[in-house]
Amino acid sequence: MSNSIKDIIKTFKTRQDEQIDESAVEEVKMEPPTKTEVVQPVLETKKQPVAKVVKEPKKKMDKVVSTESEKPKANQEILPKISLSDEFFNTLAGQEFVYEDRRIAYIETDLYEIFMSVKRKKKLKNISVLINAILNQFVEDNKEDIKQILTNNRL
Amino acid sequence: MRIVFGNQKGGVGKSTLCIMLANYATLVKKRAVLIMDMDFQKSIDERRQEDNDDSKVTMPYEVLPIETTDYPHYAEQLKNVDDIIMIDLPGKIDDESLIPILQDADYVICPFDYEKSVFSSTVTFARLVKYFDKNKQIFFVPNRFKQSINYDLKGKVDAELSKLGTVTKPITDRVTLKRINTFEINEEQKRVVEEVFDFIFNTIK
Repeated sequence: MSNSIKDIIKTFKTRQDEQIDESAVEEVKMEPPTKTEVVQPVLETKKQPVAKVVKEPKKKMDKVVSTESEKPKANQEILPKISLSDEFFNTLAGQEFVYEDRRIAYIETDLYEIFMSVKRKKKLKNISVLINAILNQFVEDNKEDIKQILTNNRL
Repeated sequence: MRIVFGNQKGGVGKSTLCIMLANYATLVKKRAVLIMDMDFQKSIDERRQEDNDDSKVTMPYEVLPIETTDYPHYAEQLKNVDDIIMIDLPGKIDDESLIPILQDADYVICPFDYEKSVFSSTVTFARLVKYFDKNKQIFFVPNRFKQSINYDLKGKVDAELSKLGTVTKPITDRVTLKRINTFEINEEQKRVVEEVFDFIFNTIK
């Protein structure tokens, strides 16, 4: 390995450490914990493990799924939406999002930032595992709606 | 030397081609390579992590997952590097952070296929590259080329792209290319890519 490549890798590692620090501070600011006595030491020392003060993780799908499935308009299909960027959809192309052999959701706009954020912070090795978990959870959470849609042959 | 893999269209095989070229450069051409994975899917980095988990072999090159917005932190170090730095870009162009990366690139490799929508995206991307530097050399690599198909657009596409860069011979669609990893290249894979890759290496050396 040449010196130049070594230098770049060194910069990368330094940047990575800096980003972990920034991430820890952001997390504390964004999610003010209820117990102030826990917060204080974390704000003073950036490298405190974030997990100690973070609340139970939010269900990320709530943000994504909610509006369309909760407020169906007249004459509009009650079809749940998942939001993802077009580019990101490519990563799902091989992963059918189906229920009883039928496609039950389509995908648009942007979940990428959420995935990347979770991936970075939780250090997930394979993002597709996370996607699958979320999609499976989504199907599970919306099972009754999906059944109804399929029964009414609305797809 | 900075080689950027890009196209406005996703799914044209940028990351796969990048891995294949890195494997070929290190294992066949014995060159030192570093991949900077800037595609938001981070598929090369994920592949490397899986390879690290599955294999005990020493990896022939490093893969760094980096955001395009972080590029300025590396820009100075990347100048005048004799070794090969391969940068895999996301499949989009509406992002200001891509500008310095494209400007600094010594060469651009742009995989594409002979579909109408891909052609349009490929031309848009190439024009953007040329907008920043009209002398930038672009290699258009017809990827996943199916020999059994008669591509209606091939002649016109090749003619148009030739005005913007060099259209290489196609890389044919083979199952073996779907089984690539980040640490080895088998004989079949080598046969599929060597003509195109040798042409690129002979041009850029």
